[in-house]
Amino acid sequence: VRHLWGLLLGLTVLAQAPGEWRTYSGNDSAHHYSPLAQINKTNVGRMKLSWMYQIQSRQHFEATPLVANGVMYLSEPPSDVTALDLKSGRPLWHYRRPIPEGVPVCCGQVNRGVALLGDTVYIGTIDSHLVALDAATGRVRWDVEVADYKLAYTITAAPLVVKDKIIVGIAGAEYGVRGFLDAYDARTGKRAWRFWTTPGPGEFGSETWPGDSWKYGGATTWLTGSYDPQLNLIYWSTGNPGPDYDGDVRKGDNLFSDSILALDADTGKRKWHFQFTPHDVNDLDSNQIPMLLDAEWKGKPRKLLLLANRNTFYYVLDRVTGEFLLAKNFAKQNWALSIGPTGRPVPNPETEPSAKGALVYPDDDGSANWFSPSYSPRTKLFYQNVREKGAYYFKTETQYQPGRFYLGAFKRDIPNEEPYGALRAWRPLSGDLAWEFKVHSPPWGGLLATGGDLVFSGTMEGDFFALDAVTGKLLWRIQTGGEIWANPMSYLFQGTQYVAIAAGSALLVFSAE
Amino acid sequence: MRRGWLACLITVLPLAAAPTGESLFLAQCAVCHGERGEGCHRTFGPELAGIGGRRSAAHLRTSLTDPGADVPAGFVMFEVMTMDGRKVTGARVNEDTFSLQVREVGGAVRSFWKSELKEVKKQAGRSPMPSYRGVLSESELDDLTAFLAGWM
Repeated sequence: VRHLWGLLLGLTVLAQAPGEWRTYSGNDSAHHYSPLAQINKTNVGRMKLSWMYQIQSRQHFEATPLVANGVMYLSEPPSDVTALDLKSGRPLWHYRRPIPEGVPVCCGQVNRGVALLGDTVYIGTIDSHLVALDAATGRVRWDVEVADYKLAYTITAAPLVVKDKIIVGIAGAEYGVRGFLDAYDARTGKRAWRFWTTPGPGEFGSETWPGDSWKYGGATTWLTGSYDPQLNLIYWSTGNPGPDYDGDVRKGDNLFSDSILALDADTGKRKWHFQFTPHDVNDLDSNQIPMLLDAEWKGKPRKLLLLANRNTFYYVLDRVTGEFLLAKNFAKQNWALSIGPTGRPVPNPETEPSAKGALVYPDDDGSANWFSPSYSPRTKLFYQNVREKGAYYFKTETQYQPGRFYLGAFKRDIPNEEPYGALRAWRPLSGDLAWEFKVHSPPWGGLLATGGDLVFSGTMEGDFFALDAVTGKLLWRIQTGGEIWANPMSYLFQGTQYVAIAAGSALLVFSAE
Repeated sequence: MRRGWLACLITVLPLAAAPTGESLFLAQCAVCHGERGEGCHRTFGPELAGIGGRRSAAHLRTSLTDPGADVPAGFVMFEVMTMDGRKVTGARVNEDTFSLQVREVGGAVRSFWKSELKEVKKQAGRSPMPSYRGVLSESELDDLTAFLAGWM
């Protein structure tokens, strides 16, 4: 019975109707691409607001909504869920989660989205629970504790559905938590497996942490991963080691911080790992979207994994074996002197935080971050929003205390620097730049490429715009009046294509009708 | 009611009995930053009330003699050239990917689409504030710095 149920669930996931958006990154390969072509170069100039929905929270609105079965499922900060009627934009139900006072969280009580399987909606909460809701009513089906929020474990990422399991990552590496990735039975909420992202004594990689430093080693899993059903592997990226900026107490590579992990979907066992930034002292979390692409690599078809890293390098790996294939710089940097033949960087000692201050490019927000890249199978280009900014880091004393910051440096901006951003389009197999579109400030919003050969993006000054996906030419824009901290997405409803983006505290939904 | 820049000019009341740092502030700084450090209409100078809690004494000392070293956002000077050859200079009020708003001396705000401009020049390292190097003595600069740094 259990197997049959799993099979049925599997079929439900596969049965995504054209124009739906059923998972955070649009598909299991995390292309963040919509094949819809109704809005295209000929009519994008006529895009108009169809409806908007306003949230009450003043926290950053980082959600990417899901659309399935004629309903939009939207997470709201801190950890609420709203189902919206696609015809009117009016709410059908709310799930309001009361959050305890004083949840320690580095970067706002935010949430990036929900997961959907069959008739159940899943949300990870800022107080570190995983909650299953009836998709028809919003009623709680089950609610399990993933970790103790008092130790600063929080959940901000959208969970990922893999067959009959819900995969959940956690945040908290600024507070010395020990990272992990969890899988839960979708029906019961029972935990199926846990993979600790810092190894304990005797485990693989434990020699990369002196003493008990692994206990506070971070390597958190705060951004949704991807899944290859043929290989049955989950790909999940990890964040900085703790403390962020003081490497003295954790000499060694600090596995599996700043890495990509390939885990068996059924058991959570590690198949391979690749560490982008060993012994990181610059808070270069690798929590970026791992995109999966099957392509011809030097004349042979190969299963690839693409990741534009916060550390300014774009990586191509073989996702069957984890073999390093390419690293290509895409933003200003000074932390790495070079990248070796196996992908291991040679760090620049001058960028280690010091008492007199170390100038580091990129700053700790990185050249890329959690916001999504996009890939178009039509243009065969990889699109990435890029941040160009540096900062000074001054080393300070730090000691682990439960629920307190565990950092080891403070940051100061560079006087008179004008940081900026750019939407860059590059060829995924070489990293060669095809074009770029500069924006005023380093962006915090993701990208959506569509079958209409458009790329949508937003800025910190509230501009939402569409470019020609082939040339990068500006085709349409609107001033939304709010900072854009989210990824655009697109869906079809009753024969009309819509594009949705969260801006300020509003979700805006556009069409070209 | 918000006061215009002229009102700011005429409400400066030097206090003879005040300590040196404070009297220097009233004589030299208040004209642009406001006598209570409230910032004057954002026309000239940024808010200074409580500046000691936001900036170190070393930073403040540098700002007095080299105000262009770290110009606060909202006071960065721009010079733009329109397509028909008009030149406009002012402090940047706001800028985004597509537009620019500058405030001219006197307070008038001008707004431009960047696509309508021939040239946009950021005057890096230039501040609307004059340098006090040579204007005030070293001991006066120290007194003024101490006054500002102690303003919590």
